Formats: sequence, C-alpha cells, structure tokens
Amino acid sequence: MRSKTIVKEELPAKELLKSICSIAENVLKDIERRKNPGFEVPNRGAGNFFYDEKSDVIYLGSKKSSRTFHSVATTTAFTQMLFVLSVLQETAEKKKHLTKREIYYQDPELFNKDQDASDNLIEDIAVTMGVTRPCLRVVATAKGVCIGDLTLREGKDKFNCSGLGRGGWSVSPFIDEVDIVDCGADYVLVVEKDAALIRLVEEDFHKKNKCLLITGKGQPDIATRRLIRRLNKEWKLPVYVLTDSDSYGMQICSSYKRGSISLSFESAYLAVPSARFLGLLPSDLDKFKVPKAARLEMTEWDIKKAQTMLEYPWIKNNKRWYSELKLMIDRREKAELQALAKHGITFMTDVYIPTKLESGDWI
Amino acid sequence: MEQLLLTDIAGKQKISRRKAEDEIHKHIRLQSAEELLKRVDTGFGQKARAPFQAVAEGVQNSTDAIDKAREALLKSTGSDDYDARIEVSISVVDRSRDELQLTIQDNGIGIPRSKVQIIVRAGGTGTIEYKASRSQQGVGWTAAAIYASQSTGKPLEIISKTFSEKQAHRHVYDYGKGKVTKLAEETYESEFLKHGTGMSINMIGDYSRARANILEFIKRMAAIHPYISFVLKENGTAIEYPKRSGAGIPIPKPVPPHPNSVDIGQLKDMLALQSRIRSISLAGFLKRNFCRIGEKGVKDLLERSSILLYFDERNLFAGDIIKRVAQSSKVQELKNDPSKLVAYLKTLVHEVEIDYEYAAQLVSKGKFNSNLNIRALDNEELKKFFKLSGDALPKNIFTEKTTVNMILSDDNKVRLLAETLRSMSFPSPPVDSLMPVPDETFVEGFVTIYKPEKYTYVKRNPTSTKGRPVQVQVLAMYGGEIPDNLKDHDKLIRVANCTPLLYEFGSDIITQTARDIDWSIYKLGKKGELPVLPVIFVVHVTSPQLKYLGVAKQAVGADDVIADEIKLALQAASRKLRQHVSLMERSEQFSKAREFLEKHAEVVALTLSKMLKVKKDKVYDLLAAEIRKRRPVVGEMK
Repeated sequence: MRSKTIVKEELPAKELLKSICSIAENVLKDIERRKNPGFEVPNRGAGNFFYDEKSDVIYLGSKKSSRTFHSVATTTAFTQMLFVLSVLQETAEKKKHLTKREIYYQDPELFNKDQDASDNLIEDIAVTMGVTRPCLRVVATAKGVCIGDLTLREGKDKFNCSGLGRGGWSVSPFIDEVDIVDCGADYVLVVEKDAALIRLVEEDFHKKNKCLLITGKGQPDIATRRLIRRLNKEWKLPVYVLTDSDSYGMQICSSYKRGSISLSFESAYLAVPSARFLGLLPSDLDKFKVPKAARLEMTEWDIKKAQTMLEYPWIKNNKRWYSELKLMIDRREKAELQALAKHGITFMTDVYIPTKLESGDWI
Repeated sequence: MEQLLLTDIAGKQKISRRKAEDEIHKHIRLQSAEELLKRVDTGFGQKARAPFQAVAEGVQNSTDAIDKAREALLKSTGSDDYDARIEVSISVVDRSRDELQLTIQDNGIGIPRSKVQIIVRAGGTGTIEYKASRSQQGVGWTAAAIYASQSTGKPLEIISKTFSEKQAHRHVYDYGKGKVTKLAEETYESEFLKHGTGMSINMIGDYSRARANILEFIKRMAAIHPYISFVLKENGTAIEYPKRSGAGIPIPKPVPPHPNSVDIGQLKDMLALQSRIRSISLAGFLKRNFCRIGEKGVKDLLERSSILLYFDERNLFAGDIIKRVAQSSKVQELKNDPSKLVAYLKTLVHEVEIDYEYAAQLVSKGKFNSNLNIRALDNEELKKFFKLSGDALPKNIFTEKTTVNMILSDDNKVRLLAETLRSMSFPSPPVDSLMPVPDETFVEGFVTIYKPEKYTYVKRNPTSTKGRPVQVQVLAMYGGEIPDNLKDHDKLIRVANCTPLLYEFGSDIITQTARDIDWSIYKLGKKGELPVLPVIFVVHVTSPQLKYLGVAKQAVGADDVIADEIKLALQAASRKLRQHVSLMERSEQFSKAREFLEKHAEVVALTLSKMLKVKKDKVYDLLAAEIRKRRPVVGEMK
C-alpha cells in the first residue's frame, strides 16, 4: 500500500540549520568510515504520487532513490546537492532569503550552466528534509496579481489591494510573512490569464460583486497558490476558477484545486480542494452558444494531453470532470475565455459569470 | 589387314594403319616422378614466389636433418643439445635476368655418400615412417632443383658429410631432359663441417618481391626453433636469429599405421614388403606392422572377416544398414517408445530380417548416435543385430595359420582383410609420433618477437583423425607492440608440423575455421572475418602424414576433426583473452571515472570543510583513497 509523505509547513532558521548540519555530518561520517556517502531523495516524478480520493488532493508517494557519491551516475547530483545545502546553511545563518536564481549563480559551472538543475535540487532538498521550500528560505519570483478589498501587512507596510491601481498587488514571494489584516470580499475568483483579469478589472467586477480577483498568469507559482489557500483556509472564502476551455486550462484549475504531480510534496500546503471550476467548461460552449467561428480545433498535442489527463485517478473518478474532458476530446474543440466576447465585450462579466454563479453551474 | 591403306580425301600421302596408331601412342611411356613434378603446382609457378618456395623447402629439410642429428646424438650420448645452425645464402648472380644463387647449409645429420643418389630423386627423402615431420613428401627440394634447372640450366650441387664418414663428398646433378643425371661425385677436399649438408642451386626469381615472405618465414622458423641458429645472408649481409635455448622439439617416434587408416593398395604394399623378407603368419604380420593390434584384436579379426564374408555372399550392405538406422531422425524421435520403434525399424530395414527388438534395445541404450558406423558394434553385437547364428557363418577364411603369401596370392583375401581392418574398432593411435612445440618454447618464441601486452596459450589433447593422431596448439597475443591495422595474413600465423605457412592463406582449413568463429562473443570482432582487435593467433597443427592442399605444402587440407580441434583451441584461447580485454576496457573506464570522481571529490571536500569546519585535505584524501580502492586499474589489481 502506498503511503503519502507529509511535510512540515514551518521550520525556524535554527532548526533548519540543525537539520542541514546533521545531513552534512552524516556525509562526513560515511566518508570517514569509507562508506559510500549519499542521500535518499523521494522521487518527484510521475511514478511517485499518492492521490487521496477522500480529500481530492495529490500527495507525494513513498518511493525514494539514492544519490551516492561513488556511483558515477549520481556523483554529480550528490555533489550539487551537498553544495546547495552549504549555500542554504549560509543563508540560514545570516537569516536571509535567497531566490532560486541566486543559488544557481553561486556556481553555474557546477550546475552545468543549467538553472533547472539547481531549481530541481532545491525541491529535492526540501522534499528530502520533509519541509516545504519556503522553509529553506528559498523564494521563487512570484508573478501572481491580486485585486480587491483585501488589507495586508508585510513588514512595516500595510495596504489594501483595491487601492493599488488597475495593476493590483503583485503577490509577494515572501507570502508566508504577509499578514492578512482584513478582507471585505465574499469570494475569490481566480482567472487563468492576465487578459481575462484586465477585462474583469475594466468592468469593476470585483467592486460590483465583492470579490477578490487573482491570476497566477498561466501555471501558477507557489506564492500565488499559497495566497489562495490562505484566503480559503484562514478567511473561509469560496474559490472559483475561470480558465480557457482546453486541456491546459483544466490542468491549471486542477493544480489550484488538488496540487500538481511535480510539487506533490507541497500539496498539503498549497492545494485548495474546495475550489470550484466555474468555466469555461466544454459544455458551456453550446450552453452559451459560443459561435463555431470562435471555437478552435484541438491540436494533436492538446488531444494527447487531454487523453493522458483522462487517465488520472482524480479525473477518472470524478464524473463531472471526466464527462467535461471527454466532451472536449469528442468534439475536438477548444475555446478561450475571450470567445465569449463574440456576444459583446461585457457578456462575460454581465451574463456569463453571474449566470454560472447563480445557478451553481460549476464542477 | 595391316597393310590396309586409308583413302585420304585431301590426297596427302597415306601411311599404314599401324604407323598411324604408333604415332598416336608414341607419347605413352613411363613418366618419371621428376617429369610429373613439372606438371603439378609445386609453388614455383611465379617468379615472385619461387625464391621463397626454394628457401622454405631447403630450410625444412635442414631442420629435419638437425632433428635427426639430435636423435643420433641422444641415442649415442644421452643429450640432444648442440650448436645447431642453418645458414641461407642468397645472392643475385645476374641482375638483368633475375638469376639468384641459393645455398642452404646445415650442420644436421648429413647424407651418407651412397644415399645421395636416392635423395636427389623425387620422393627420395620422403619419410615412409609414420611420424610427424616437416618435409614429409620428399619432393619439395627436388621441385626446387627442377625449377632451377629449367630456369637457368644450371645443376644442383650437394656437399655433405655424416659424423662417421671420414671425408665430405661433393655431388653435382643435372635435372634437364626430364631425368636426373649425375654429373660428378667426388671427395670434397676443402674444409667442411663435422656433419651436415650444403645444397646450392641457381634459379630465376624476383627476390625483391619474395624477400618479405622469406624474412617472415625465417623469423617464424626461429620463433618455433629456439634451439637452432638461423642466418640469412643476402649478398653477404647477414641477419641472424641466434640459438636461444637448448630445449629442442621432442623427437617424434615412428608409429606404425593405425589399422583403421589403411586402404587396399597400402595393405598390399605392406604384405609384399613383408613377403620379400619372409612370409610370416597373419597374426605376426598384423602385430608387427600396425599399431594397436594385439592377441584379442587378431582373434576378433578372424571371426570378423567371416562375418563380413557372410554379408558379401548375400550382397548385404551391413554398414549401410547400420548407418541408415543411426542417421534416421525418426529413429531418434521414437527412442523411448520401443513398440513404435520396432514397427518403424521394420519399414526402415526391409531387405533383410534383422533382430528388430535387439536393434531397438541398442537404440534406446543410446548406442546409435548419428556418427555411428559398423565399427561401434563388436562381433557379438553384429551377429545378434543381423540374426546370425554360429552355424550360418562360412568357415573362417583366415586362421591362425594363414600366411602373408597365402593372402598376397589372392586379391579377394587382400580386399577382405583391408575391409575387415577398417570395419573394426581399435584404440586411438599413440601420440608419440607427434611433434608439438614445447609449451615454453612456443610461447616464448613468439612473445619475445611480437611483444604483446597479454597472451594466452592453449594446447589441445591429442586426438586422431583417419587413423592418424593430431594435436593443435594455439597462442593468442594481444595488444602491446602488435599494431592495430594488421592485415589478415598477419593476424593468423599458421604452422604445420613446426613449419610456418605463408602462402595460400585463404584456402587453408586454419583460416577457414578462424573465419567461421563468432569473434563478437570474445569482444574481438565479428563472425565471417578475422578479429579486428590487435590480436595475433598462432595455430600449430601437428600430425604424421598431414594432408596439405598441394605439393607446395602451404595450406592444411580440410579435415573435420582438425577443424574442430582448431576451433576449440581458438575459442579457448579467446575466452581467456576476453577476460583480459574486458579487464582493459574496465580499467580504461575506471581511470576515466576516477578522474571524474576526483574532480567532484574536491568540491565535496571543500563544501564539507566549509559546512563543518573540517580540514579539506583530510576529507579529500579519504575520498580519493576510496575512489581508487573501488575502481582499481590495471597494475593495482591482484
């Protein structure tokens, strides 16, 4: 029986240092005893996730692989990992934060001039130590935006996200150090892309409907997902997601809701299982009479991706998700949110979203 | 009748029928062996090869003469070691017509004055003993002399002396006009060796083109014969391979022919030879002239001959019937089902009623494999198989009292005796007649010349083929000073009865067998060709009366047993070599991996020193030691 790996959400700098030191000491001990020093790293690949049906969340599985010094295949990975640990140690000692890119630039040569290598190692270390990445004091640049009646405090700054102009608040990479002081919204509306957000802001949708508008600009970063989870957990705000009607959009919605396979070890800390997929559902295309001319034919890649998703247990076992995805595949049609604009540019804000919310037409 | 004239349409002069027939039959006359030699390929067909062939023939004779001298020395003194030496001198006499003078001189046993006139004839030196020797046919040097005479008109000169002769003697023979003519025989007054022979001929030949193979031949001869000094003098300049060891090749003992190997003609000759001396009993004749026949053999033979006679009288081909049963795949299929097998045997053998139940029994006992022939069944089994009762057998045609003359006077008896000998099973022939190169000599001789980094050596146990023993030795040499881009000729050094073979590479059974091996199994190359890695195989085949492809003796003829032995030896040597090749590959990988790991060890040591405030060098040294221990390279392994 597979089991899930649970990670810690918080780790003070002192404990982090202790933890890193003990790893390094074990390595040294192995070297002194003429053993093969190594790390046991949980796999983060497609083969090692644990889908918890009850909570509808994707967790990390229990498979591990070892990276040892004396096996040529893993020597580089071992050395790099040890090096990253030393960088993390230094950062923690100084009580600073580092971005992934800064870690990479400590020694690009060692990472074979490939930032993906160092980025992955950071996730590997987090998962090996059983903590979330922010615990390691590594921040990823956040790209999300939030607009609406939300009062926040970060350090000495206190501000409301509705008063920052039409650009809204850029989600802070140090999201866990941001306090949510007050919230005047009734729900969160997450949109996949910037374009849809601009339309909603233009129409003052957040003001008219007392909601927070958030976008992760495509595949969401951790800070944005963490913000949404905190709003959902700490302020009990319902979360609705609007994406394009294609496999990519559904995948994004799913990762907001259940977490993703590659970051499955952080699901517990990021996922919003109660999030609702509002649209654009494949069945909406007919329901809202989206003209044929505004629909696009799915590419081979789209179909392949959709068919793979169909096999995921969280879709296969979810009748409505399954039937919507199946419908998409059968029709071989996709459409962007902007397709609704064929009925007039305010159709989405004036008709589509309110209708869906009122009738509870989400999945 | 005899005077009958033929009408000729053209009106030409008519001759008598007798005269016409005489003219037609004029060419029929006794042809001498020397004349015959001109008609077969003796290796003297090409100017570029002729000098090589002459050197090869002469040096082989000289080496045999030295071994005979060793034998005489051993028998008279108990030691066979002396300063044996062969000197080959080649000088260009007339550059415009490529005329060479070739002299080969050895301090071997020498030829007694009275025997020179036999030696000079084709076949004269050929051994009629059944033991391995280099020059077994006795035609090689004669062929050289004939070629020399044909190409330059000049005669053969021989100077020789045996140890016991008081003075050396000189002989001159001419090989022109299709016969051998003695031009001179005299006492040689000048100084000569204590014993030995010098032979000299003048021949036309392209020495510059033959030279490489001559050098290679002498080099390889020297490798095989470290107890002989070889000297090659070219227009006075000498290349010498000095004697390196006192250990000679064991002197083979003659072994009489194996009874299974003689045919009718051979048997008749042997009987005739015996008859000229004294007509003795059949039992005495068999025991004296064949190996592996004892009292029991003779007794069995007497009965066996009457069984065979019984078959003859009934036109029954017993051997064929046995082969038919042995080779039937259906019979093998039904091996474990006696009732079906009996039924099938009845359809298979229908011309005569045999004991089907007994035959089935023999089959299920595994006695009948596909190689089986009549030899595998002894007299009792044979009688039972063919349902012969003692009464049915004809009276013994041979008895204890039958004499050689009685057999010789009746061709049927000769034939029956030959057939009987071939139809019986005798133990394998003894191996004393072989001349394997001693292991150390074989290995050192080649290894010191070719300087490989690794060699493996395999010596097969002697076995026999067609009544003759045969033994194969293989030396595989790899890497070191052996170049990568060897030509096929140089990848396989063929040696037969201690003589290197240099021509007719492709048709030799050794080459063909080597090409048939799947070298990929040994990481040396692939099937269908010779290995591609820098590896040289030396293959030595020794057997008395070894069958060559031609009179030039440059290629061993096809023989299944010899081919199998060569194959097994090559494979065994390659298997051993493969371990080394893999080791080298791994060592190479290991040293690359070491470099890679050491680079990373530096980073690890530096990182740990920073993290834990430990000494960087100490960590590095520990890691580096472990890296070396885990990945040993050649030289560090036990």
